[in-house]
Amino acid sequence: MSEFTIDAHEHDQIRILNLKGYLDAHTAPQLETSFQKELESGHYKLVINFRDLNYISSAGLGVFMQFIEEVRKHEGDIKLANMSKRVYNVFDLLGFPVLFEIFEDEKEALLSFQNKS
Amino acid sequence: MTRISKTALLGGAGFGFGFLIIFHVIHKAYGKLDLWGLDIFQFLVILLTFSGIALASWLNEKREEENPLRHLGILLAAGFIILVLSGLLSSSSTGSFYLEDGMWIPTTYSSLFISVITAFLAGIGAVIVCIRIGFLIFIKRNRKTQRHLIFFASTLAANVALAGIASGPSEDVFFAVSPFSEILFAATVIAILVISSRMPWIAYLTKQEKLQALLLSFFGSIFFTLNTVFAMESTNQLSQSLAYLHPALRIFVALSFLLGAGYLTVCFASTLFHLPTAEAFDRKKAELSTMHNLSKLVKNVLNQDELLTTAASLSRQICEADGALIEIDTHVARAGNVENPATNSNHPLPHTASWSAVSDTISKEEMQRVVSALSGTYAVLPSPQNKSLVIQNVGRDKRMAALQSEKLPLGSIAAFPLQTHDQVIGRLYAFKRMNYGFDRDNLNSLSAFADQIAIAVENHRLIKALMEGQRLEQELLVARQMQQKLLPSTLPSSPVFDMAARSIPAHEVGGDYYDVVQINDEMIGITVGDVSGKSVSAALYMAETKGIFQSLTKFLSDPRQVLHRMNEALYGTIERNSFVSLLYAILDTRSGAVQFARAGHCPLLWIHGGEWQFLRPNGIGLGLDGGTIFEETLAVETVQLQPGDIIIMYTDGVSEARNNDGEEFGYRRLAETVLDLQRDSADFLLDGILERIHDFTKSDVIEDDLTLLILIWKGN
Repeated sequence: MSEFTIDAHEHDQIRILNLKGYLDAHTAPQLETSFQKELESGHYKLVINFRDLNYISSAGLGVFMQFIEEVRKHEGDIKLANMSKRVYNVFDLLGFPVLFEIFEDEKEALLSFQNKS
Repeated sequence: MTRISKTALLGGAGFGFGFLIIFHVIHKAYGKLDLWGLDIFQFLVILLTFSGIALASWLNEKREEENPLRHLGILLAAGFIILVLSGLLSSSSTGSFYLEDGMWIPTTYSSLFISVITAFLAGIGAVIVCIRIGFLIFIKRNRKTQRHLIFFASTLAANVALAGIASGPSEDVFFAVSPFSEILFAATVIAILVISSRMPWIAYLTKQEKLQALLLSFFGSIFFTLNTVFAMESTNQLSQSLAYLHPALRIFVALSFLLGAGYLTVCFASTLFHLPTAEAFDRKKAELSTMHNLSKLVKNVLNQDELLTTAASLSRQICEADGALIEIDTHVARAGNVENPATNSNHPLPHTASWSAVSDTISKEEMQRVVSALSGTYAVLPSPQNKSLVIQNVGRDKRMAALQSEKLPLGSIAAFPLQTHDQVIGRLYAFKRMNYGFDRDNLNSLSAFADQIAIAVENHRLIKALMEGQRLEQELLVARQMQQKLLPSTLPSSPVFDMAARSIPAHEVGGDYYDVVQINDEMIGITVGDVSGKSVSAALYMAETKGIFQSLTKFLSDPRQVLHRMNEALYGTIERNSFVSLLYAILDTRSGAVQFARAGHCPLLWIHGGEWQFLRPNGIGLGLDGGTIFEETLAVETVQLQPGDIIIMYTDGVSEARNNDGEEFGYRRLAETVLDLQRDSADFLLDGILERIHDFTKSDVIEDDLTLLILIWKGN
């Protein structure tokens, strides 16, 4: 029922994860695995593109919380981009905008990494 | 008890033997005593003496071990010893008896002793023969065997009794005494033949055991034939000695030895006839026992690895293979189509299947490589259409061309599909080092065995699925009960306000939570929250949240303080991917002022006159940040309620309730619904809202927990 896919690629040493479909309690472990893989291969600069994500539940939000601490410990960050209004509302309600950088689109997110370094 | 009686029996026998010697010494010294009844008495003594020995020896044997070879071995030993004894007797004291009044009298006292002792030992030997053959007959006995044995025993007894009664040791004991003895002797011979005609135990010996039995019975029959001749031949020393001790003993010994000779001869012949089929019999027996083991295996289905290992080793035994491997596909859909493993098995084995291999001589890797080659390169893998795969000559077979250069230590391979309900769930492979190793019997057994394994594996899967399902159900039940217990059972009631609340758990149970506390005489604390996560973990975090909430609200009356402390407490304990969203409001029942703060939760709905408004002060969820961000962002807002005003607190199960088109119920619809309904009673309003939500979703299945709390302010 709930379809969810992750497509990852790299741009200037920044990993970009495209999320697609429904991110809920059932599909959250998939995202977890992806994050684990990125961290294991030493990628700490991550941009998550939400353009194709239709739905996110609180379990989906939890995944970002799970990894943000370790990513930031390694001078990295998880930046969120291209959220639909509906997805943004879920993040917003819980107060994510004060915890994560959320960008209108992917380019801005990538740019913000480069400005920092 | 039996030990005492055995000792008593042997003691009695020794006493009887002593008496016999004394009697014979007196006889030699003073001539025949003319006492009435002495003959009968002497007969009784000898009868009791040997009966005692027989009984003791019968009791001595542990009947449970039915090992025919042991009995044959003892028979052979007894036969040999008697033969040696009689040989020694003849060589040492030739002509040591002389005839007087038709009776044998030893020439010297030493020959008296030697012959009496030898006769006595031969008597013991005869007892042993009878008893051992008795044991052999009792193996696989039935009603008939018992009858045969009784027939033999009674003819033997009759012979002995006749010899005893009509005694007076004579020169020609057998044929001279009475015409009856001839008939009785013939009857005994018939009895021996009847007894010897049935030796079912031979069939159950393994080939090895049969060879041993053949050797034992061959020599045994020779020894006893000789012994019988020596015991009967009246010119022989043994025969004379026995007759001297008592004619009845001679009859008994001679007939017993005849039994031994007859039985062992037939045994030898029988074993010889059974020998060619011994191997086939062995194999059938092994098959039976492995089948038996497998049926036990079927019961032990909790551990698949164990199941497969045992099944592999049994498969190997059943066809005397050098190695066996069982491969179970893990990609076969439960109720799905039959997937052809050959089409997608280019992966190395462990990824597509769980497997178990058993062999002493072929390495697991080698077997695995062969299996991979068979499944990967050719579509010849056993499937329902292709019942089995047999390669009798690995070195020449085209299908094995890919591996022939590697000189694998394999001659032949047999493979069978494991299938249940037309679905192949795996394969059984057997390997032999020699070419043409699998005969038709082997293949039949393996095929039958493969079916058994398939059933066992299928049972294992079913039971596992069942257990897993039960476990989850149980977990959900526990979580649901916990959740219900954590919610307040009653709400405060007051003339100044009307309150109603309800929480409806979804099937998977999330962590919706609401609570109401009386802070002091005027202040009431109200909270609605949502713990992230499902089932037991959500219920546990909910319990923790409630505990923290209940204790903090007792001494803190500022919503900001309460939430700040809650965040501190929760951040320290809950998992990083979990958090709690919560709305906390404090109602002043004197003034109708509501002071509230929002920790990442759905906004508060305020119905004021005919207007609605969602109030959404800043604030992030509890447990998200352990630093200062939480406190810095948290804002407190206050509303002054007027009589008729309503505040509604809820969880996202309400706002995100979806219909079939994926459309959400949403905030606006919620507010408009409230305005559309009668707003006199909190309970009625609550029911009305829930009904509207249900009408909207048109589904009885709730996707997420759904909680609503309504407060209608009546005013003072």
